[in-house]
Amino acid sequence: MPNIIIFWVISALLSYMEIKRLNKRKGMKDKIIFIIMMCLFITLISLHYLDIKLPYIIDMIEFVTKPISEPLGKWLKNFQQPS
Amino acid sequence: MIKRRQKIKQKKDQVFKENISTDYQQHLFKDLETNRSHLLKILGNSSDIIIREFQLGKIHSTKAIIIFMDGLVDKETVQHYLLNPLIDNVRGIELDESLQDAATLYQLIKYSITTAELSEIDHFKKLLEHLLTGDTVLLIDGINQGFAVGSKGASERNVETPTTQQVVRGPKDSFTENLNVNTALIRKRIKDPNLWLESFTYGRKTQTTVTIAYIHGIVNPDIVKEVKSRLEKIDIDSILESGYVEELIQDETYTPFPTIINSERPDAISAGLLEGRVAIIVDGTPFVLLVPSFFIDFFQSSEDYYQRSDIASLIRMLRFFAFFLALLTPSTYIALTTFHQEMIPTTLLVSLAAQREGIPFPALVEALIMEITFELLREAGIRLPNPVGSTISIVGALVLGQAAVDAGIVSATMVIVVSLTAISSFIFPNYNLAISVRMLRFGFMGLAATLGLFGIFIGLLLMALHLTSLRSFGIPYLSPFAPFNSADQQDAIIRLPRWKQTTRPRLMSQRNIKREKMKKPQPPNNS
Amino acid sequence: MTEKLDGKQFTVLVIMNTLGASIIFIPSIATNYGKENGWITLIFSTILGVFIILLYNQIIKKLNGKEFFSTIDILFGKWLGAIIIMLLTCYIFINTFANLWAISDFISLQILMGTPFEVISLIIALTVLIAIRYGIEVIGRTAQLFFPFTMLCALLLTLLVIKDADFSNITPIFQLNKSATIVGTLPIVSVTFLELVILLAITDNVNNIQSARKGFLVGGFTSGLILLVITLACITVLGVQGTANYAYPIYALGQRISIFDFVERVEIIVAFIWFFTIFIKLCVSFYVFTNGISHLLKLKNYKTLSVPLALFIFLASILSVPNTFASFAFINGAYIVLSVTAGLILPLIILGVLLIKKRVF
Repeated sequence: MPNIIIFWVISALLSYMEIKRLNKRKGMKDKIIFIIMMCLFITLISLHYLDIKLPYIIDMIEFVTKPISEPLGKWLKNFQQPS
Repeated sequence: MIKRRQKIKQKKDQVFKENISTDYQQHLFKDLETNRSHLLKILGNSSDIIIREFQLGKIHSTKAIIIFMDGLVDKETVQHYLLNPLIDNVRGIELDESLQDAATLYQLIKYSITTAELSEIDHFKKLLEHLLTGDTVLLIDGINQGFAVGSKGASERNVETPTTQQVVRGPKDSFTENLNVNTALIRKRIKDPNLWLESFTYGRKTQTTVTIAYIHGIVNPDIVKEVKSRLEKIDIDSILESGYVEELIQDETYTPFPTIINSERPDAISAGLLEGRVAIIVDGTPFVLLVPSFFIDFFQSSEDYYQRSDIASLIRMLRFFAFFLALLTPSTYIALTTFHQEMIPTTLLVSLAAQREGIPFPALVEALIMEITFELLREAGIRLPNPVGSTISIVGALVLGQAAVDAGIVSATMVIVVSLTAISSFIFPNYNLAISVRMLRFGFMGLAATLGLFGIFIGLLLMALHLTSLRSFGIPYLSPFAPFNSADQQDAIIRLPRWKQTTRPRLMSQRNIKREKMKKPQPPNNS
Repeated sequence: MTEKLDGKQFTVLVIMNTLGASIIFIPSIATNYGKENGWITLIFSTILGVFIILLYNQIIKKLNGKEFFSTIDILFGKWLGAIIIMLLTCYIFINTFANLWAISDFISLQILMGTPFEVISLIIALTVLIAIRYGIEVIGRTAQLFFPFTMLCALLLTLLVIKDADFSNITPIFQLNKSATIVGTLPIVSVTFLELVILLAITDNVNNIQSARKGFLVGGFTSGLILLVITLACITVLGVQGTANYAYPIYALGQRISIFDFVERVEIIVAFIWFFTIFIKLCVSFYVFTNGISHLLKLKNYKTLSVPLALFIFLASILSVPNTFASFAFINGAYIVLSVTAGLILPLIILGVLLIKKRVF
């Protein structure tokens, strides 16, 4: 639990500094995209800290590249040192 | 809301300015008494104004007064070259009807004054300018114009040996508080018509003269332009020291590192000018600024150039080493003893562990206690009335350290660490960098206590990122290392012999790069 | 004010990006395939790498100082261009978080035992964030500033272990496992030279195209040489089995150092080399990543998205790999596919279109 609080404090600080900078530049689009992105990632990280299992990215990538990478991996296995 | 507040503020400022300016813009009156009372009103009857009244002419005499500020003028000059000719010569002339007209009298007086500087004034603003800088003002009844006679002669400190940047070998003169003496000290060294000086006045209240000096033809004109444009932006009520100017024109304020170097040594400033830099001399302080200046400049002493090149190079390397010692010794000690005991050789580790056995604090607290104590002693040492102060503070630190070890508050190693840090931080030729190192040291200690050597890495990385992002008048602060410039390495960490340093620093002066045409000195062939 | 790198800084960035993640894994991967011929695998890889760099150099020449992403947009049109950029950005993203995972994992396992992985990962992510906020120019200069120290450490490392070297470990030279030696170049090239495709996106920041191309080649070749020397040192000192079994063989090499039996356990200098190279690599790839995303979203300034994306790579590094074993399988499988796609096939397509649409430029 303290982890998530520390994380929130850090991200709040970062957002505050960034919003202050964006206010100076007067770009509405920048601000909206920034806020959406910030909310998205803060939610995701909070979910992670609240012990909700998120999928491993590596598994997702392997799922996509499976048709090629699986036979390739097997083929490469032949050349590797037996350990 | 904010806009309204600004408007009100602007209005207030305007009213204030108008009030003053109407008084100042006033043309001199014809009547002497009105002039006198107006002036006294502006100056608020200050006690250091001296007004001497006298008569001109024998029969149809005209009243005249001279006004000067006590202490700012050389009374001898006023006596011999202003009062004597006026009273002796003009009194003798019988002012008849024909001479009575103002123009003639005016010319007559103008030619009878025998001082070197003489200028005519017609406004109170100009009058005050001259009066407050130490000139004597002469006003004549019936004429709405006056004279300002150059009679500056306030008591000044003599040219003495520098107190902050001492050398074993090298010239022993230093700048003074007088701007003219300072420019003369530079001019004496560089007898080149291309040494150009330009003066400006800043500070609404102090009216301080700021002079920039550069060598036309060597300096990069863009830098001169940049310096001037930054100086022009200065709008402040007072400038009492060159630190004011430094803070107002530097590239980055929020940085622990100084981006403008200062020196009270005329030889160092002259050397900087010859490299193509711009000197900023502020009236009233012996510390002259030199721009642009780089990180490397703070490791170089003017003595490096007077000594043999090999020893100078070694001493420079020693200074770099000392920089890292001063910065990292306490934090490395903390990191090693807290996180990475395996890196300490076993025998040393055993003795360290034995020392630390009775110490009630973690290494960080122990280090903080000693470092803060040392900083206290050091600051106190500066305030002590004489140079012995710093010696006393060191002795104090040692005695205190010994006592602290005996009392079991800190370990003996910690005392060594702190003393090493302290000695290393005294080695820099320029005081500014030592201050930044002092500040950063505590940051590194904190990082080391939380993340060990990894924290120190992170700290060094952040420091490097910050340093590389800094610029001094548009030129990267870490040059010639990053961006790397192989030609400028001749005078960076090592100093090559004079005959090998054929070029000026590349980034500062694009033109007139060749510095000398000198072959390696050869002994005569005795075949 | 556009930020500019000079040729030297670009060369340093190329070296840092090649060595980055790989310097600590390569000896292990190479010996895993080529056994005692692992160092020969490196020679093949370097030769292959030089060819790859020549391909990239052709692209740089054709780009002629124009921005990489917007050129792709012009070449392929709005939608196809966006897809290609998206693919590249995904690859760069994977690269970024994988490196962040690698360094954080290494530090939390080897240097700061007891400090949680996430703390280290967050600290590094924030440092990288600060670095890219300063801009690519500052990153280039910082790389240049630390470069001599990195090289010095690498040199010291090899010199100090040379007395333990046993050259019987590399015999017989190229007699056995010939096919494995050659096949081993595939994973090695995919974690070193093919990743250099990222640098194509910063070539428009180099002030001189000619020096960029030269720097690319020189940097690639130098880093190949360094990897060769390090691998050779690992095999001769630690033996074939030793090198293959260690997760971080070069770190084990550092542990062997002993100067006069007094200065021991200076493997921290290895950690320094690795940390620094990977840090620069992280900065560059994160910089390009934010630029790519900003380009896709049509934002003018990459700094806007740097903060959320830093959080994103932090999250991704936590969620990247379940364990070290999985990462090894990843390098020897899916990652090769990704690298070849993004680092070879896409650049070939881009170059082909550039050559065809020559008249447009």
